[in-house]
Amino acid sequence: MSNDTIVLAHGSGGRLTHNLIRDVFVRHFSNPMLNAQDDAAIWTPRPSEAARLAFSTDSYVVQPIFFPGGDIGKLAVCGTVNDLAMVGAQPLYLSASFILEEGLPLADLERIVASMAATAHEAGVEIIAGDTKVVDRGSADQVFISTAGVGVVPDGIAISGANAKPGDLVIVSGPIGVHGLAIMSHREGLQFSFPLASDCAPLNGLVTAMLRADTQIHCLRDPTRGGLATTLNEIAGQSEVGIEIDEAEVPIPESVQAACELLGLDPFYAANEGKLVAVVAAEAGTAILDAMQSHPYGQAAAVIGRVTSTHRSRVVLRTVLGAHRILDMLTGAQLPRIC
Amino acid sequence: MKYIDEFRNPDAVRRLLEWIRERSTRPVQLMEFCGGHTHAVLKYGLRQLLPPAVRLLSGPGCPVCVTASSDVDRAISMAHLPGVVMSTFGDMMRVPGSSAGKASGRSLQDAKAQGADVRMVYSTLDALSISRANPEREVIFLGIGFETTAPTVAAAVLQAQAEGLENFSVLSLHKLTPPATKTILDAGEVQLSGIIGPGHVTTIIGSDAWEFLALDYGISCSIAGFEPVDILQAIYFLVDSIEKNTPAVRNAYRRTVHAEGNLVAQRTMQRVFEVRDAEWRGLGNVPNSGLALRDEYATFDASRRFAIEVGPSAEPKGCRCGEVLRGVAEPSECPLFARVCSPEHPIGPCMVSSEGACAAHMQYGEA
Amino acid sequence: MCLAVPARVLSIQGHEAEVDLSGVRRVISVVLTPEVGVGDYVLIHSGFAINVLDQEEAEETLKLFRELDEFTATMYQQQGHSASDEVH
Repeated sequence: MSNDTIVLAHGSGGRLTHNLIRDVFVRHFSNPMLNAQDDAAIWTPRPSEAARLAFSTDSYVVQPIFFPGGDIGKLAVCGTVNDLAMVGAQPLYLSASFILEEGLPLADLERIVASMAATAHEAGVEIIAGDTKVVDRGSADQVFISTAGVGVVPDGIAISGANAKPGDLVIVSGPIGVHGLAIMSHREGLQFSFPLASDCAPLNGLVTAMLRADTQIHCLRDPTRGGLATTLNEIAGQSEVGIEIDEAEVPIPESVQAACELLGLDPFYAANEGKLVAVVAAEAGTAILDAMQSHPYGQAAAVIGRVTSTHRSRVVLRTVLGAHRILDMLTGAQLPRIC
Repeated sequence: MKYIDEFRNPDAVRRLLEWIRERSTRPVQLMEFCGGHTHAVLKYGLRQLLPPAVRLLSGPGCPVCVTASSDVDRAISMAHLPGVVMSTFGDMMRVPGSSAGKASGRSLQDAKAQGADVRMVYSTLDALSISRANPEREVIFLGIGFETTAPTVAAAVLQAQAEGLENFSVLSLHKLTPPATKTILDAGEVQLSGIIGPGHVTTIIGSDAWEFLALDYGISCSIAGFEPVDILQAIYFLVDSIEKNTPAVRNAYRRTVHAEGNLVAQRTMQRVFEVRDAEWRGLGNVPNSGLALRDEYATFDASRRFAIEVGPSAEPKGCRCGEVLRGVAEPSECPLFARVCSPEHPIGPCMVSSEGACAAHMQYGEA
Repeated sequence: MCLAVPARVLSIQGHEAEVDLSGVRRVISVVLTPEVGVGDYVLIHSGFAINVLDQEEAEETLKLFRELDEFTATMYQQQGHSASDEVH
């Protein structure tokens, strides 16, 4: 049995499992609830906390597991933290379940767990519960992670994809397409003179700053899989409104544009892991935009469009040439255009 | 991005549109032959911006769309052969074959879900890499594309030969574009005043290859690049030729298109491939329009290495892809369009390929 | 198959070249464009350079559009329009 790779016995519940939990997970995630290592974590809600709780879960199977700007662990923590933030919740606690492939180097696991601990620390959350399973070589792609998270929603917050109103402004927190293209480019062996790194980031701090500036935020969503176009379509559909976007106002980094040209991809459909779309009341626009631009994760925030009462449930793009066309949601996977 | 952004300049576009408006005195129907042009026209909303007198029709220049369904069936069957890795460009993954082939999967994507080793590649060179890395597997590259792509595939075959690769072959479904244009014009189904010529195909074959349009058919042709400025410049030249009643082949993509084309690429293509008749979905048999590997490259010819029986091509009921490809029908005139046939559930190839007229209309539909 | 992208050649090693498009780099085959030199712009399709861009022609075309402004202005003056009218 090797000391530096994961073996099946690590998942059997015996001494090897306990050692792994103690030496890797508890060591990095360390907090009183987790350290107690009971079957479940118990806490008493603080009296100052509001009555409403938010709960979210997600799974992560990204390949490669390490990429410029992050790794599967960082993605997992940010993903659940952000899901909670998108409903206006303050994230509190996460769980993390791991399915490990036999043969995974322990050093890789340790690197991922350390990254999760650092990201959790930045986001101000604790990882208080977890699980580990090991499967035969070939039954999983190195590591799969599943996270769940709970947060509290302050009184008076009503943020939902169904709340967009005609006249609202549509704001994006920064340049789009970065994560998706960082991954695709890494896979396809593109090099960059200024390396394109994933924008993976926890956004709860940004959302707090935005809500402090003005609470008239109607919708928040992070445009992950399917990209900006898909997210806008989801909001338009849920709220039964039209959305009009000005193509010239959408921030897209030149490196993302160039990589898209080379790979035959469209940045509107590329994943973002550290960006959010906000639909806000028009009169709140300036205050919220200022708050975003003052935050590290919102410095390039921009108003990209508005909500309309025409073409309900559809998103229309005003092209750089001034024509109008439909911006549809992604269907299937985005297959690169060779033609 | 140099040589891209300048040709998307909104000011230049506005000026070209004014020129076209000023010059045009009568309705004209222009066929944009190439799927890449269909895509660009819709992406930038050029149809809306052009004066109503200038009408654009889509043509059969989508190599995915014109692949015969029996050829798709053949590729799917090959993908299921033991030990085979089927490598293909992304566009072909979701193209449905004939419904007769249902057992083995309607598309290469289905075949993959059923366990066939189907891999998406950006270049034939990627398929060569897979061959080198997996000497015990048989790697087949699905050769789709016109004269822009065929030389690259030919170069890869020569590379494979030089390396002595024994597990690499190409299923050549490559086709030539001038013969298809002749077939459409000979059929006389559409009244065309001009043709927007394929800029990258012509980079390879040279603008002289299109002279027959003016000489034999009295139709003007303008070779166009793929940025909005390129397309509008080509349309301006066409409108100008039509107004002068002087059919002419004009080059509106001078930064890469020349009279004789890329001779090295042409020679590479001719060395490896010979011309045969080919079946085009929507056009039927088009004489001397297909490329097959020559006998001396038989060992790299998947159709000879793997004998597969397939039935004749069958079209799904109600599907009007053929008419769309010939410019006879608009996507919206097909009874299946946006109802039964959509990007999530494509029935015909025009909806699957991102260049297909139907997919482009759905994705970039006018608002 | 029509998608081809212009990029600048940074270096050439035998049949391969490293090209750059706005800071994004890729290695491609130049076996179909043996005349290519470092600093040239090539059209890339499916992992190959398929042609060397004629930069003079590109500049000529762009110059034509810059001159269009004067041409259009003259044309409009003759017809009594203002060049700044929004036509779209």
